[in-house]
Amino acid sequence: MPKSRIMILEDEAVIAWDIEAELQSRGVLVTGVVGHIAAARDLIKAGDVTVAILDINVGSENSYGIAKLCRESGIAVIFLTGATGEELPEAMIGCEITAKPVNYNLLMDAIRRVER
Amino acid sequence: MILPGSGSVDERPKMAHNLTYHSENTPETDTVPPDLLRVVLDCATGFIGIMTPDGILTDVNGPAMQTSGVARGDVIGKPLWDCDWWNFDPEVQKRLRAAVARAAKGEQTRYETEMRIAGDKRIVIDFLLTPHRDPAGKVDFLIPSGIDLTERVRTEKLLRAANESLQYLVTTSPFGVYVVDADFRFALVSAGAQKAFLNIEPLIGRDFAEIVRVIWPEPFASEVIGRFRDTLATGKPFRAQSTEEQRKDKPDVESYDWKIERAMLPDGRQGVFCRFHDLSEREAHSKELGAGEARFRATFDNAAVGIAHTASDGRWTLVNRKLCTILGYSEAEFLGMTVQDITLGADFGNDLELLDQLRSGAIAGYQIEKRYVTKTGATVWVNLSVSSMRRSDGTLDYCIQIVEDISQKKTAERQQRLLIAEINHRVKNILSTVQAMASQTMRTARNLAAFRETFTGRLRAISAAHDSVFQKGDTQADLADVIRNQLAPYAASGQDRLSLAGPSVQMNAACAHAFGLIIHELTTNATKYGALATNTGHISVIWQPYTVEGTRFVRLTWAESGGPPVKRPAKTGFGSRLITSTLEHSMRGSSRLEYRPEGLTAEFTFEVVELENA
Repeated sequence: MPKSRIMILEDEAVIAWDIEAELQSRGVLVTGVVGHIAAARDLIKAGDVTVAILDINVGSENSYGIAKLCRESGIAVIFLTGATGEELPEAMIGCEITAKPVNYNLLMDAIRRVER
Repeated sequence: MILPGSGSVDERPKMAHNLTYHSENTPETDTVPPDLLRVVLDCATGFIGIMTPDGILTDVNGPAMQTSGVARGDVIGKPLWDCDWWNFDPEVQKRLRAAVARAAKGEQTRYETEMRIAGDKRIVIDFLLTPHRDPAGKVDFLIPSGIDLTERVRTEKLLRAANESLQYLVTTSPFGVYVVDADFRFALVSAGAQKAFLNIEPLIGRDFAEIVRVIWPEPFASEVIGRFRDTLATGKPFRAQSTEEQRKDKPDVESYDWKIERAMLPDGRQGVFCRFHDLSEREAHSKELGAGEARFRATFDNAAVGIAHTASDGRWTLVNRKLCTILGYSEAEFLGMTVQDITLGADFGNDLELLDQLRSGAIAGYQIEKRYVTKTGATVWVNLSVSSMRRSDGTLDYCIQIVEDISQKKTAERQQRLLIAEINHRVKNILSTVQAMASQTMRTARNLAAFRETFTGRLRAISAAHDSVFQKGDTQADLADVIRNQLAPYAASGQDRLSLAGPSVQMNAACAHAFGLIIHELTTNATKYGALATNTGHISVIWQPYTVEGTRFVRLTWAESGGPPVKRPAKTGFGSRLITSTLEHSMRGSSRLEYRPEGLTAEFTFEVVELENA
């Protein structure tokens, strides 16, 4: 069972809940669900996160800045994106990517991989 | 009477006879002193002798002996035809004997003949054999004489040759040359001049003035004749340039450069040489060329694409108006630049490589999409077709560039790519929303029928929110439209069930989507428990936009009335949770729900993003 403490950054409330609910039902501890960049930043500073699941497009921004902050803080990053074939910026290469709509088995695999 | 010959004046013996030229009417000639006449004869250029009627030479003058290198003893007392002068050819001797025989009968003979002189050379002489009669009329002696014609004959030959050369030169010349003689008649006409006198037969010997009046109309004909007469009379040359005139004998207009000069002709009289150059053909040709050039220029300049010629080193050598328009440079500015000068740096290498291949002949042309930089520094995408024009040795002479401005196409392509990416993104987001909505609805549904009802309602809400976004043709939605679309199945405004009040607020797709779901949840709640559960209920929505630190927000109040009495629900349902968390989570807003007995009142604030982020 993953021991991660998960942060979810997803601007659409319904999707955010759903991810939270699905992960919880699989025994994953979700310590925060946020819908915008500023809230995510606060949550990372609070320090109770080991894995960040980040929707790439958040409102009118992207989450690369947050991803960078995560990596600097030793937090593993899993990107969520609806865009297929989207190329990550060079600094983000090596991060996990999971497609939307979410296949939760694949998302769980990604969580297990980044836990190591 | 015998003229006594002598080798020299000094050695001359005493005269045996008086040298007398008999003439009945001039008896005074008898008085000419014989010594003086002798001196005169010895100083003459001609050859003179005296001989008997049967041809025996009795005397001869000095030049005859000196020229021939003979001594008196070699010739005196010999028949004339046996002397060294003649005995080189029996025919010459025979002819001489015959002349002597005729002279003996009193007949004078004159002919040209060859004669031998010193060094076994031959000369031609004008030979005259004159008989002399005594007072009784009997031939008593003969006088042979000769004048050296060699020089004259040679001069005549040269003259004839010169005349023939002139004839040959003039008549075979491909240029327009003709000669009018002192009698104003055509003397010579060149091959090149025949064309001008094509219908005149014969031409040589005809009166110049007559012919000119046949081929040219007045007053031009008279002017030409006057010019010729003037030059013939005064020797002053005359030159006329680009004379253009309608022919009289045919329908053509001909134009000539012509020049006349006076010169001595072989007949020893002055004549007029005319040299002329036919401009008609050249002018017709250059007119045709000019028309071709004008047509080319018009096509070139009015073309809807940029066209240019460039040298093998890339210099612009010819540019049309459209290219000037596309790139913002004047024609003069272009001519001082190269293709490389205005190619965008990133496209430089590729273009240069192709140019190298073109120069080496590896390729005949190429077509690429590349970027030029305009005078104002803007980048222009062009579709460039380059073809090569080569010299006869195969080297590159110049290139023809066809330049089509495809910036708009490129912009459209980029927008299309963005749009496709955006649509893809949005579809994935909607599917994610549907997925989340389905699983959330499933968690709270009592049974499958309840799930179906709720889930279908929410799908419709998503669909209606989309309609709000796309019904105007752009990707913005009007806040009032979003509300109306969600309420449409239950309460149309104007039926006293719904009143909307607020200024126009535009929102982007994501906003409209989230806001649409909120209104859907409120509407669903109203149909079950609120204003839309009765036939008399009323919903009033009032909103007002405001701005905080450059961000636009809306404060909106949803107030129900006329429904059944309202009680606060015992537990927070999915709907209210969705409303609260969407506003707080996604829209940087807040919500307050107040369950008043007369009806639910909801107060929201949320951020509105008007424009799609690029």
